[in-house]
Amino acid sequence: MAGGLVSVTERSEHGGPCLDTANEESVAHIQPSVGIVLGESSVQQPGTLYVTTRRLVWLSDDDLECGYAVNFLSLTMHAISRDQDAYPQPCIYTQIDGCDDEDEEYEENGTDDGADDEVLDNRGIIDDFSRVTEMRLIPTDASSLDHLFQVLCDCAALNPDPEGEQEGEGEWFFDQHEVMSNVIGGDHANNHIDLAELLMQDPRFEDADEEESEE
Amino acid sequence: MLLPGFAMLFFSYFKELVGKEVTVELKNDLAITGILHSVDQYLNIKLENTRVVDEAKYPHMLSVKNCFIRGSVVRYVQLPPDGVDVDILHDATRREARGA
Repeated sequence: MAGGLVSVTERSEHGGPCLDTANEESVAHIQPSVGIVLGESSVQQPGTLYVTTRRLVWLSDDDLECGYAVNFLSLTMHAISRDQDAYPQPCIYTQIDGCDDEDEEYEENGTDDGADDEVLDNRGIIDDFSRVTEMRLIPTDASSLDHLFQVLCDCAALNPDPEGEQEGEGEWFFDQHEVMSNVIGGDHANNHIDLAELLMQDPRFEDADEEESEE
Repeated sequence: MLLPGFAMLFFSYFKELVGKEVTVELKNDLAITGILHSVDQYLNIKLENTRVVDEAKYPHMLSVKNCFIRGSVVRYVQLPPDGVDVDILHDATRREARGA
């Protein structure tokens, strides 16, 4: 499926990302001179950010085989970060979710940090991009952040979860009294039903006769 | 714009909460408090003046100003106590559940 962050090693003849035109992917915005930070790693720059209608793609300006992409389906959150305690430069902060719920307990390699997305080996190099959960995009031109944020919002909205992916329902939590008052057909405006009293009085809640143990 | 039953209810309801402070809890346990700026038909949520609820757990987030949260990763939206008319919400959800 979407799968989180992936490495991009190929480019089109124009130097940009190879687009999935069958999936109607087109470039919505290009931001030059952008650094990228994956998880806890140090910033990689300079690069060019391509925001397409399907993905965020960052391509290194120096290394033509170095690039990263993440599908909007995996981009769970993005934000403008201007807090210097969080990161010294203003940037777009994003969270990536590539995995399918459940087991997020990874047996990671040598790192001790215990942070939830530690994917660095003991040389500080990322060896599994799909487990990167935080990414920062640092444009040299900080004034472009507002527009960039909006472009990401717009393109994210173009990528809702596909039909059928959310089959079934999640857990439903009801207020107990609400449920009981509906079942018994009580007065909806009256929320002061004494449940115990109702159960005592309503013949439907009598114990079944032992000989006819139906139902 | 056609939304499945409860989604339309939530969408309409969240639109009423724009401008109020809410706390959004994501499925990865991250909780973010902010002013609800807007919501779309997919229940994607935009917050302003956000802060992370548990800063010690998520130090990298800290105070991002504007935040866009994908609807499919939201677990809960905690509503302001004075922003909720419980009776109206009860009626609306009952109607929705009955398919009215």
